Amino acid sequence: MSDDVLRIRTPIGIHYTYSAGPNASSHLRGLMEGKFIGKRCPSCQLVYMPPRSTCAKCGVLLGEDVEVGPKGTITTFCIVNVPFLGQTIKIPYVSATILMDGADLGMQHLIQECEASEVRMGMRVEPVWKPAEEWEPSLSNITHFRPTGEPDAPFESFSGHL
Amino acid sequence: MASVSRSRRDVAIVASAQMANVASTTATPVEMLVPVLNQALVNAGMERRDIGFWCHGSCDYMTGQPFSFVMAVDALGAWPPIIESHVEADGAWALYEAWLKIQTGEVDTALVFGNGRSSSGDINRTLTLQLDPYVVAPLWPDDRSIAAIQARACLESGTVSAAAMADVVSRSHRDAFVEPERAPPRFVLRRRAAGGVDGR
Repeated sequence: MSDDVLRIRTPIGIHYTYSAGPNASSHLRGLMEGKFIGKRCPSCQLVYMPPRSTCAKCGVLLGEDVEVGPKGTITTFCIVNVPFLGQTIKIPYVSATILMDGADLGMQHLIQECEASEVRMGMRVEPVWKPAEEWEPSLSNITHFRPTGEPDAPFESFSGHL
Repeated sequence: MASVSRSRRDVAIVASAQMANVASTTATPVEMLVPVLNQALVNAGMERRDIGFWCHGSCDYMTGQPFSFVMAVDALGAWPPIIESHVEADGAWALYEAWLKIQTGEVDTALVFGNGRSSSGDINRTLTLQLDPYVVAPLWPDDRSIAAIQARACLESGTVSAAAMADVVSRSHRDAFVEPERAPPRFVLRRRAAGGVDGR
């Protein structure tokens, strides 16, 4: 019985070539120029940042480019206290949903350069970019966001974007 | 809302639309879907809010992205909320689910769609991964190999003759020239790759 095969390994590999598509491409090109480019829905006028292919609400292809930010407001956040395999940032750290000025949907990024306990809804933040020579078409060009020191945005100003 | 009945409801396909077959594209699956869904609605004389049930067939291995079908919902305009479903299979299986849903009496209309962008990966290799959900490991014969095994079984059992099979291939080649929307995509793409022009 000890010779029975109980388990086999069957490694599978397939290579894919991704294309971001025209909408995400203008956003990614913008990041190469230090800009945040979102897209406006031609039907309901919502500004998506980062843009996706369509307005998920209306089911129509997104239209014109809209430059947003660079500053934004923290709408919600999470303080990470749990260590996990592959963690690259010292805990505790803060992952937040940031509503870029001029955008209608929040995007996720890190908040640093302040104590985790200071982070709050409505806090105004700005991006910290890597040196330009290290830029690639990726949101990782921004290492993190940090507080601007401006007064907090009133809750009513972002309550419709949570 | 239709009432539930013991008798079987008649279901008809009232309109359809198809994207032109292309060898590859940089559009995302969602960007590929939107114009086709719009065309199908126009052809049916319906609007999004007229659709009682949306049913989608696609394969994550084809897209190369886990949960790609969730992203495809972006193409539907899911606000106010809609009733939708997805099968990890082809459009024909999605059509069957929609037919069942209509039989339940819960909905009266459905928009069924199947999509995939095979050019993201190596299609012959991708298709091998769909074959054996029980072993949870690919057996590695691709679709052509499976088709060949099936054809050999049919020939040896006398179900189909070699001549009848040749007729199907011949018809597909002919359709690829005169009615590309009816022909299997493989035939159309092969003809276009050889420099053929539609309608000739």
